[in-house]
Amino acid sequence: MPILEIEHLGYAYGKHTVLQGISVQLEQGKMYAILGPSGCGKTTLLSLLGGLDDPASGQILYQGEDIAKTGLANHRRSHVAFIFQGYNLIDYLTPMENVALTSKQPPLPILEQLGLTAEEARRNVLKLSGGQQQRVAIARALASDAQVILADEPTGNLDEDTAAEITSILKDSAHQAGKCVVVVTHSNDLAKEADVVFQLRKGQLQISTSDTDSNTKSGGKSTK
Amino acid sequence: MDAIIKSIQNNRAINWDCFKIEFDNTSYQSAENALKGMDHSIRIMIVMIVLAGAAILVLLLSIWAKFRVRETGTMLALGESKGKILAQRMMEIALIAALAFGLSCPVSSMAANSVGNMLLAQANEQIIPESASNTIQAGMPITSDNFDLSPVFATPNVEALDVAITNDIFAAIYGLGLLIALLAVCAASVPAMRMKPKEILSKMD
Repeated sequence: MPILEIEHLGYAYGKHTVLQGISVQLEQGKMYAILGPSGCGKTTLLSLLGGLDDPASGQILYQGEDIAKTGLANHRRSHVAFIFQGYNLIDYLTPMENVALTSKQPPLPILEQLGLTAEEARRNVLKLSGGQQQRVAIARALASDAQVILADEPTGNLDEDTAAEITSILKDSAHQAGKCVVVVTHSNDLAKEADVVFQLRKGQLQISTSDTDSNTKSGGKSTK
Repeated sequence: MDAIIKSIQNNRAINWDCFKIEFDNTSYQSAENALKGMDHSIRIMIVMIVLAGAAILVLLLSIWAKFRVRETGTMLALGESKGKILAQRMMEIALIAALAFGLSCPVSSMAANSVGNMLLAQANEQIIPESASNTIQAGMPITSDNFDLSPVFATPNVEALDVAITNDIFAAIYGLGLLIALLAVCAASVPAMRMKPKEILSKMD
């Protein structure tokens, strides 16, 4: 059973339609990449998957249940973990305190796993580099019990080596931890590492690489 | 006053062939009017200070809330409920208010004494000043030629006040202040709370 199902999803900003009739099924244990030109609606799609907003049409099912009926706040709290492009860390907290927002487990091990030292983990987040802040944001997402990780341009502000490291961590989250990882990216390097790559163009989501196990309806094309 | 005059007139120790009693509360009236005016001024000042303070508090808390919009959006995106976020804000304000109230106890007593004495000084200036002919001195012969019996007694002259603010007044003021602060937090947080997390976060980008 797919963990996330999108059925006939639509969204518009005023009269400008960015998403229309998107239907996709997403499974655990896989990493999905969504590519597309700037302004095409990638972040919007990710936001809807994460319950940050209501779609104009269609529905999103988590383990068969409509998230609008189970509650978007509940979906955000229990089902998904978001990695924002701008990190969105709480700036008066330390990395350990930021990670503790989503998990009751000790935060230091996962921060150390992601390359932060114990001293850095106790420093205010604003005193960390961009790469370190991104690691904290990823740690916050991985530390939660959520089975779906949604990442918006997780490597957009990082150097090549750090980006490769982050990509590897996300891939391990999918293949080893069994989570469903959905990444919005402009990076072809990251997209190459994904199990399934989607292209979002003119409101339609189409599969970019052939993968017979993608479970995308109608051969990967969105339906109205 | 009539009862007092009647009581004095019933005093047989006074030779009423030589004395008469007249009622003249001009000095008292002027003192009372001054005090009433002072009381009215103080009440207006209190109302204006409370309203101005509340307005300033709402403005400051609105600015404070605006700086925390991204944090609000992030917390909502992480699944925190709006009620919990609002409760956190209110608790923060309540803790700051408790500290402020504690510090205000000695400061307000000093200020109350200072302002009270200043207002008293102003009120004393409005009372009819006493003259030597209106003051009874011990051993002075009292005749209508050398003594103006109206008014007879010296006007009261209160030189200083000792203002004491009781605990129940403190409690009432602190309760009102805390209520205003909590309502101000709610009012300041409403704009962010009405938005969806996506809207908040996209506005911050």
